[in-house]
Order: sequence, then C-alpha cells, then structure tokens
Amino acid sequence: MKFGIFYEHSVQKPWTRQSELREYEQAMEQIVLADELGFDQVWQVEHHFLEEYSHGSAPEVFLAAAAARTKRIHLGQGIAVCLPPMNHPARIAERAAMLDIVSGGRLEFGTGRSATWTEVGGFNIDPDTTKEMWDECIRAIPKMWTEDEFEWHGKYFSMPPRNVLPKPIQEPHPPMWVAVSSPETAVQAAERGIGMLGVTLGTPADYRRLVADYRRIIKHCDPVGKFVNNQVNAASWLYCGEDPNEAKAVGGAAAFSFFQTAAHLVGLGGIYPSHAYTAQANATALLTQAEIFSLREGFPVGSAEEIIQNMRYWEEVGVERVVMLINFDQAIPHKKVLASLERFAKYVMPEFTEEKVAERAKKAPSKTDGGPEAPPMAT
Amino acid sequence: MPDFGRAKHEKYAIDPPSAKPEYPALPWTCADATMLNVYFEVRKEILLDWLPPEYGRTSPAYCRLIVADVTQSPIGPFRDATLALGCRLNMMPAGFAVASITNSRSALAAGIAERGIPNIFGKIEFESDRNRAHAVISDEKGQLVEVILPLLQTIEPSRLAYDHVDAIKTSRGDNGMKTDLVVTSPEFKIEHAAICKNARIEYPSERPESAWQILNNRNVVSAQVVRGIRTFAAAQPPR
Repeated sequence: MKFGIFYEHSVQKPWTRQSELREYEQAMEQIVLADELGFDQVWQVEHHFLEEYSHGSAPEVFLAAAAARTKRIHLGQGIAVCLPPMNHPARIAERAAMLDIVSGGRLEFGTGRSATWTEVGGFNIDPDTTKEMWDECIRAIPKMWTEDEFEWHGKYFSMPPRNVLPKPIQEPHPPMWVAVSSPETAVQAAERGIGMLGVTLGTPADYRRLVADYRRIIKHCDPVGKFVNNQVNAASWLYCGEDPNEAKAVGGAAAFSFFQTAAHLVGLGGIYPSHAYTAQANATALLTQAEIFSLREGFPVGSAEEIIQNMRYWEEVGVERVVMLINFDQAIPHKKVLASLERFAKYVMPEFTEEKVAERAKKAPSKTDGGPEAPPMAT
Repeated sequence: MPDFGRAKHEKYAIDPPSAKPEYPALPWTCADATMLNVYFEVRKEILLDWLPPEYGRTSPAYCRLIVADVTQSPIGPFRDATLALGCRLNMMPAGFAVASITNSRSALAAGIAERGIPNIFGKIEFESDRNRAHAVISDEKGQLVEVILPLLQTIEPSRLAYDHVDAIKTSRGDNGMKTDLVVTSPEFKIEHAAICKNARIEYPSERPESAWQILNNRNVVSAQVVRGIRTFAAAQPPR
C-alpha cells in the first residue's frame, strides 16, 4: 500500500498578503519531509474562487517548486480541470508534460471537471456540458503527448495540426486519473481505463461499492490513453497523534474546521438541477467534532495503533493508495503536522509494505471484487 | 471561519394582528400546485446585511426566489412568493426568508401566526404552461419583481432537491412582541419538473427601499417550474 498527502491550500480569514505565502512555505517543508520519510505521492488540487477552502488554483506551479526540492515523491495534479473554457487542453498537456520533465518523470496526471457552481459558473461554463467536455479532453490529451502532428475537431474544442510540445518524459505518458466522488464517475473511470482518484474524504465503507464497480468494469475497458491505469487512490484525513486523546483533540478539531468550511461551498447539485450532477440539497452530512469519530470508522486520525487498524480497513476494501489531507490552514500547528508525518512513517508505514500486505492477503478468506463487508462502526 | 450574517432579528419584526385570526387548521395539503423557483447570485455584503447571525453565507452569495400557485386548498386558490437568502445553518443548506407576499388574507393570517411567511399582502400574477412561465410580484405600493422563464425543458423530478426555508416569526407574548427563528420543511412533493436555461429577472419599477430589489440579481444560476402536492404546514423551531 502506498501513502500520499494532498493539499487544498486552505487559507482562513483574516487574510494578509502573507497568508498564502505562509501556507505554501509550510506545505513545502512538509512535502520535503514526506519525501525523506518515504511517502509516495503529493497531490495538489486545482480550485478557483473557493474562499478559505482552497487557494490552490495553479497546481503545476506549486508542484514544479516541490519537484525542485524533492527526489522521489510523485507529484499529482489532483486535478487538472479539463474544461476548455477554463483550461485549453493543449495548455493542460503542455504544462503537465513540462512538469513531468522537470520532476524527472514523477507526474501523476489527475483529471476532472469541477463540482461547484462557484467555479463552473465563474467561468460561464454550462454545467450540463462539463462531463462531455472532460471526456473529450481526456481522449485528446494522450494523443497530444504521443503524436507529432495532433489535430482535433471535437464538439468543445478544435485545432489544426500542431506538434504539442514538450512531450512528457514518462513513456508512453504519465498515469492518468480522474477525480471520483460518485458511483457514475467510478464506472466511467473504469470504462476509460484510468485510475480512480477518490476525492471524497470518506471511509472504507463509503468507497466499498465504488471500488467494487471499478474493479469489475475496468477488466473490459477501452482505454483512452496508451495504457490502463487500474489503481484506486482513496482520500482521507491524517493526524497521527501522540496518543488517542491528543490525536482526537488536535486532528478532530482540524477535520471539523475543514468540514465546516466545505459545508459553505455551493455544490452544483444543490442549486443547479442537471443530468450532469446529482441533486444534493438537504444531503450534506451534519458532522460535529464528536460525530466525526463516532460515525466515520476508518478515519485515520488517532494514535499510530489506531491508524494501523483503520488502514487495514482500507486495505481490505482494495485500495492501493491512500492520500491524506494533513492540515486545514493553521488548524494544526506546523510542528505537530511534521511530527504526525514522522510518527506515521515510523509506526504505520512499516505495517503496509508489499510483503506484509501480500502476507495478510494470503491469510485472508478469498475475496469477491471490492473486498469484504464494511468494517464495524467504531465505538 | 465562514462569514456569518449581521442582521438582528428585530429587522424582521412585524406588527401581528391583535385578535386571533381565522383560518383552517394547518397543515393544508394542496394538490395540483405549481412552484416557480429561481436561484440567482447577489452581492455578498448586501446578503450579510440581511442574514441573521445564526447563518453562514456561501460563496458566491445567492438568493432563491419562490413563487407558488395553489389551485386547490382548504382556503381555495391562493398564491404566495418568497425571497430567501441561500445560506447554511449548522453546516446544512438552508434558505432564510427576507420577504414574502401572498394574495390571500387567510394564507397571510396563517403565515403570520404559524410560519413567519408569507407576511405581507400583495398581488401575484402567475402564468405557466408546459413551455413557459411568468410571474409578477407586487405589494400595495406597486410592482417589485418580474420573473420570466421563456423556454422550459422537462427534467426528472429526482434531479431536484430543495432546502428548507427559515423565517423570523413575530408573536405577541406576555412581555410584548417576541421574535422566533422558525424552520419550514421543504413543502413540495414534485410530480413534474422542468428547467429553464434562459430565465430572466426584471425590476419593472424602481423600489429601492424593498428587499426584493436591494438583493438584486447579479447572475441567474438556474430556474425551474415544478408541479405537485404542496404541504402548507406550521413552522418548527430549528433543531
């Protein structure tokens, strides 16, 4: 099992001109440490206009800086928004390829289409068309990376023959992913032969059905790229505390702040009825700090021992990677975040080496697709 | 931390009737009702001026304009309209009613006594068929807002979900006037739904003192017309 960290670059008010700088600098220090500790990936979102929740609108820029300071850790665009009115597909391909080169072939290329009215409406994009736009882009971009004379005449963008440069350093191209927050998108990821990048900060139980559908369908996929990326990357929170109480006090408060801010986003499904987005009004979970722990089993916030147990739930569901949000702005002091990463690497990661996972798989009863039933509720 | 509202409850206090009003007991089940619903963006600072402090604003700030045409009810046909601020209460999506109007004296009486909305008498012109919908909302001083949905497209009802609408209810207590925050559950069981992708909101006469125009449209998000069963029920205290 591989572990990664990811960044929304949340910046809470009051803001100064130094607020983002502080956030980015601390994130960079955390990434350098994560690289040294053996974390496998760092991802950054691409969000626009999401006050406090995410001030991370240019992941290629931030990840290029991270590439210069690190040696092994993979760099994930999580995601590049594949909507031509927001990002021309040729510009997406160019920037991603350049990042792949300067990082020495460490790019993980995530794709998606946005889920908020704030972003989609901000660029005057018709939400009903975003799924089709994304689909067109993800079919075009691998061709841009691999063809010397790329030409496209699609529904949402067209261009005459051009050589889109540079080409990525990874052969034939970087692994492709799509952000998945609904059962439909899990199926679409599988049909297209691209990795499932879970973006719901959920639990193994939340992911179980998605993973099962994905695993079943990808066996018969028609890949949009030059190869199939059949991996599942789940997203969750991480705070590996000194002890259970400290972990819940510190990590729980940060997770609560994150969910509170997220609750004020304007999801498309809430105010824009559409075939393209699921209706969401009245569906937002009410999560108090206490409820986060009583309801969200598998949530990796706790002592190292608790997190090992929680990660085994993820392993049983069948995800290869878990990528984790490690702070919400300054909700957890920077030094505590660094200490959390160190404890996770020292105590948790050794329990999930390839050998240990394989050994447990041998002992486990044979699994159907997607793994066993969801774990019992935590108490 | 999200931005919270800065309007005092007293901003929404009204002068309720001194005698107990007459109206059939709530809830009223109203078959064959039609609701026109428009979401539109507004300026955030203006929204915060109208939003009570229990509520957080969203980004972007938005309003919900609701016009309902009820053809069958215990009081006969009536119409009402509400302008609600899009917001969050305890992290849950909600709407907070800043203004509401009805053309029925009975609905007004029940609204003031048990729901907080509708709480102003006025006039509501309403037309809708399978292809288009149109409404004009007026109070006793004249027209406030006009909503035009020129081209409707059918959509599955399951694609729609509406939040509860909250309001301030004013009542007479032993120690004088009392204001309470109350919540009205989503009222429509949707049987048919249509969306409009080119809805317009217009302001036919200048009424700069009115919330209907102070919270003016900066960008229409979406518009729908739904038909179904409406339940006109008493409001409850928030959870």
